[in-house]
Amino acid sequence: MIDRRRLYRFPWSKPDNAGGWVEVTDECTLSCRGCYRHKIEGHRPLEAVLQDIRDCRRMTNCDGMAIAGGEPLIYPHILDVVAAMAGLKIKPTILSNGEKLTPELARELKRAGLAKIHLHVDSVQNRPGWEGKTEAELNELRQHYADLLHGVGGIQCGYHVTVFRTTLPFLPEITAWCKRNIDRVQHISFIAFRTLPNTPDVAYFAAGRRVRLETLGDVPHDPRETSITAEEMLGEISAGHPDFAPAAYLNGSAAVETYKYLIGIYVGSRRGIYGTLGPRTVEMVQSGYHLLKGRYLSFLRSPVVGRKLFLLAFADPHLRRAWAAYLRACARDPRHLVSRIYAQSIHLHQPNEFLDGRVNLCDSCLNMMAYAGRLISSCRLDEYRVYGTAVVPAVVR
Amino acid sequence: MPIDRSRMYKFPWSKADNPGAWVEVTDECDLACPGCYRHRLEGHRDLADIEADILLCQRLTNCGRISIAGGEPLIYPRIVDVVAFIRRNGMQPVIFSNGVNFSRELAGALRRAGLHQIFFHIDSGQGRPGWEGRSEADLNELRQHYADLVAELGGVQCGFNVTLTRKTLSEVPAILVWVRANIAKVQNVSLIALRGLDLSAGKRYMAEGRLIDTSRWQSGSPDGREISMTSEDIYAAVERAFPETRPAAYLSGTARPETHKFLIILYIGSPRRIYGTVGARTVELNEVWTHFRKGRYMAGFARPRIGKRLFLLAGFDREVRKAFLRYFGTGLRHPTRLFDPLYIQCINIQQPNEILDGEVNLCEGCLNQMAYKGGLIPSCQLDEYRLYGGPIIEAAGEPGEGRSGPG
Repeated sequence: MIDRRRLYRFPWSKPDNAGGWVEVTDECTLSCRGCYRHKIEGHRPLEAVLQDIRDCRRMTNCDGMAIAGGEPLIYPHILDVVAAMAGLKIKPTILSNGEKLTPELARELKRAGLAKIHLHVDSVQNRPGWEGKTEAELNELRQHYADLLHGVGGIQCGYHVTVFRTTLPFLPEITAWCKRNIDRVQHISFIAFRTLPNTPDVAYFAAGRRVRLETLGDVPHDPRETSITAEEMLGEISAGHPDFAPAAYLNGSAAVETYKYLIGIYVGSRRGIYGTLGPRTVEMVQSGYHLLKGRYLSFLRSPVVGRKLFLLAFADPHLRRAWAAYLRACARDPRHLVSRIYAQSIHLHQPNEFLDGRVNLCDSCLNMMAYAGRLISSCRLDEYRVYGTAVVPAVVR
Repeated sequence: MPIDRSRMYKFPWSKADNPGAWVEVTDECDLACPGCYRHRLEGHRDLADIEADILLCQRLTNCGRISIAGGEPLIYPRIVDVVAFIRRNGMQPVIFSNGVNFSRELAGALRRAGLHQIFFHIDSGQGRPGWEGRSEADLNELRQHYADLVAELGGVQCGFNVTLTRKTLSEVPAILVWVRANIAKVQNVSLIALRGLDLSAGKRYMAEGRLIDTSRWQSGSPDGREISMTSEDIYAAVERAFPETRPAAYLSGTARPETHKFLIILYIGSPRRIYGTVGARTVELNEVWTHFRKGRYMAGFARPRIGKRLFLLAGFDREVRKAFLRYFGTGLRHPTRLFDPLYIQCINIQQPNEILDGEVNLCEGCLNQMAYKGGLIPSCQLDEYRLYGGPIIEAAGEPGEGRSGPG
């Protein structure tokens, strides 16, 4: 049971948010189970993408923006998109499956101003050459990309893992790998699989007209498979890593008590993890950054937070404990004194879902995107593309 | 001057971390204001249910204040107990009343129970007995009566709610002239644009997948123009009359983030002169510092008699700097004014729940959420749940495409 009073609720909202989102193509080189993006329009014209970036910045005041798809690395103008975003002083993050990522392309992206790349790697992707491999075995592939980006330098590395019932038990092992690689992996998102139920007891309406969900493509439904919660993922991770403690969250829009984002941040070096940041540090960082820069922080440009972070220990008991652990580690092995200190964030994400008859989105979602000059949740893009508006479900009684 | 969002602070409030919440004690009322969205369905509620709702709100929203509304809360027999319960649980009780039953005796009992603030809903559209056909300017006399009564009581803040229509928009300056002159007694005025369902021909609505019977719905208009006034329209009326006015903070719409659902203006002044407004940076500092110290956000300022220490923020906040220069200039010309106490007063422009281009546009970070059947809903949607089982959405297309039902 999570005690919400010990967590910081991010101060983000739709018009004042740390993040934004843009999609450059809906084509992809993989067909991952659970993907919510449909192949409808292919590569988008560059000017339309750039206009969406400007609109998104204007409407969300975002600090960073995700470049997504589809697979962005197959988009022919990806370097232009990254450069344009960096030119607007937005931190660009590419969400990719990694298939096209080479050291050469990484260097070009770095020159264009890419801040971070999040690689979607998990065992249900049917990734050629990795079929039938477990999540633990896929750490080898994750290591490959982490080393590649570390070699290039200057681009932060993150991972996305879609979590199913079969892969839930692997979360501690993936987390252990991440912790070992804190100097080269700055982020991992564990994303519970979700899809809208396509069952006779739920009717869907778009602009007041009943619609059939089949038009959104094949929507399998297994209630047990779409019910993994952020708390459940936290339970799995905590069982293997008792030192993991979330610091901040976003709640659900319809079910306020749900955790749509649950975020913990490790502090450590290549030689070991010292502890986690507490809610007070996250609050100080978000509030201070907003007071100074007029926007909320998406992520630090440099993951090397250094020892100065421990200055905030005066207000944060979690950080105080991490500092004490650091001092003990230094006393045992002085090499800790010269090791760089990093922050690594672990996100537990419970996406858009149908819960108790309502659509339960992430309240203050940081993946809002511009669509036809207005702001929508990126997870609902295909509802707008197919039906022209968001779909409203209703339980048939 | 158009509203420049980059010069305003977006309140960091969310559903789960919000300064306010809402509870209703009765749906009975001794007035029948046109445009009221509350229907008489259940009468006075059980005290135990109300207390359970208050505790659930506190747990789910982390709120520091609870608005007690209705219906008319002052006709609820256990109103003093409700106020005391909220105070006992470490929150500020705020009553929303039409004032008809507000007497010195009841006021004293409410103050002793811990009442923090009372809002009086007074406007010319109410058809209030004895005040029929009076203008908003005429109604300042009634507002003065209540403001004096609350000031005499001491220790309780006073606010007013005014629902605005196209017809009364032009009277906003007359209201604000009175409000500003009473800055020592009146801490808050909400100017609320009239909203309701557009009931013009051809409009149909549904809830929970069924077409609804809107003849049961009392808050709506067959004239779409009457329910489309925006915060910007109201702000323009304010700014025309008082050009130094600048909004400091806002809440946006849920479906249309570009809309301003709450637009907050904070005047600094004394009864003899308004010196200016507080800017976004001061509001941000107040919110951030309060949350860091107390673990919760704050709606408004703790002490309306804010004093000259506010000017310490002049180096940090452009609007406060401008106010300070006016204060300093006034002091040079009329030195006695330097001894006047300084107050802060909030003008809150609201554009409530509406359907825009087919989508329900609520207030993002709404501070009037309430407990309902164990969950949290926006209080403005309560009767959508009570009458139709869920939120109303617009139905398009030809009859028969939604499943018809009695609603």
